[in-house]
Amino acid sequence: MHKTLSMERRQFRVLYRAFLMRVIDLESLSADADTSRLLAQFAALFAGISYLFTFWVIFAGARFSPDFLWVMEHFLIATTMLVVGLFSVLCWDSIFPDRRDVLVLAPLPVRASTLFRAKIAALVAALSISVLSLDIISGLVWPRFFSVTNGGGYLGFFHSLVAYWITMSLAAAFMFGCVLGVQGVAAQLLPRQQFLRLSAARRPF
Amino acid sequence: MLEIRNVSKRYSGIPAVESVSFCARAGEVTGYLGPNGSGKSTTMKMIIGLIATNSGSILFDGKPIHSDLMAYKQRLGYVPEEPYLYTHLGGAEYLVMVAQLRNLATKLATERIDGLLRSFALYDDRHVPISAYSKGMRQKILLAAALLHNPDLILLDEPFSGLDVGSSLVLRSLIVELAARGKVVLFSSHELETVERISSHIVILHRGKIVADDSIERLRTLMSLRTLEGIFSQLAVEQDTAAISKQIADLIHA
Repeated sequence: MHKTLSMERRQFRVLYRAFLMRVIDLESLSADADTSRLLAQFAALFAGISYLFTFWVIFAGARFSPDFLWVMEHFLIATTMLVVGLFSVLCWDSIFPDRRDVLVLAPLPVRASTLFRAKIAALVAALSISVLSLDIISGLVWPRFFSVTNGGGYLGFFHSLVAYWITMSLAAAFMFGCVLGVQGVAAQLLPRQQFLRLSAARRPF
Repeated sequence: MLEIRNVSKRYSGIPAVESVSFCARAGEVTGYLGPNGSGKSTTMKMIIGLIATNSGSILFDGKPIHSDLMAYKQRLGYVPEEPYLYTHLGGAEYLVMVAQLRNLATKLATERIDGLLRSFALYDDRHVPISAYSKGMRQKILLAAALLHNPDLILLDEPFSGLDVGSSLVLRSLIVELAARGKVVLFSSHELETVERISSHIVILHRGKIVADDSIERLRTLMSLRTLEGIFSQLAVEQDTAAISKQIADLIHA
């Protein structure tokens, strides 16, 4: 029993690593892309965007009107949703285990549950990395200004910080869920050929 | 021993294989033949547990394979007809992944992977992504992955596909050698000459049904035919091959 569990844990780790490196459909980006480098480049790009949302605050001074803060909150949420939406479309093919996963892993002693758990864990990890890198700077700086609306001080900042990250995480999960829903409904309603055509149509994105 | 007992499979009501029964014994090479669409790959997929049977049972060493599918798969090595691989990985990296999923000890796995990559002349390209491999190189990776854990049951679906002459000769000898070491070897191929040379037992499938299941010698004697090609043509080829080839030549000539 213990041996089986440790084997399943090991298999989970191996598959998780393999799936994480395949989350984004690299063939739609470049044929022989280096996966780990590409993921790091994505993270760096998102962190750069996060920096762009923040660095000018130094020059603008520390005081913003409540209306501006409200707009900024909306803007940051919308940006996170947009990026996660694009990310979800990019990893469209790896959301569910595909034919290749099944045929590669079928002869191996891997349970279907381990395969699914590894797939979900890889997607959640990739999604978390993208949200974290996108908000890594703005998620620390902007809650300081948003805290003005809930009293300021250390406690206000802490509240804003927690609220910011929960909001961004839920916005990302909502967007990802929407894409997942569209894919699930399309897979159920459309004939297979049309579904494949729809999957191919999102490639230019 | 691998036993297939009255196995049937239907896709949307259309039978792919019907009441197929045969045995593949340890120590002998069983050739599984049939024209395209006869149900060979469907049978192979049922034997590896990828698709379920509609009726009948598959047993390995007397136990139904689905009674403990994971333990059965630990003893199974399979080379599929189409080379599905994780092409973003290098050849060695892919084999390491397979070894880890099969829970092989790291030292043993490393030794075997190095040895297999050298034997299959892939060692120098071991870190190149599989996406850059030729069809033959991919086939070698599949073979290495299937043999890595020293399986008791080896299923080979068109294993010679894409291999060069030298590699085909190595594989041919390897199949015989593995059977001699007590493995159950079941392989399907369209290369009748190769099947005739290395198989001790032949199963021929036609339109989802078994039309022959015997040793080559007995089939030759029973059918009064000298070659496997003759036996196969009589049992499983319905077309007048000479007439069709003439028809095609006439068509492109017109």
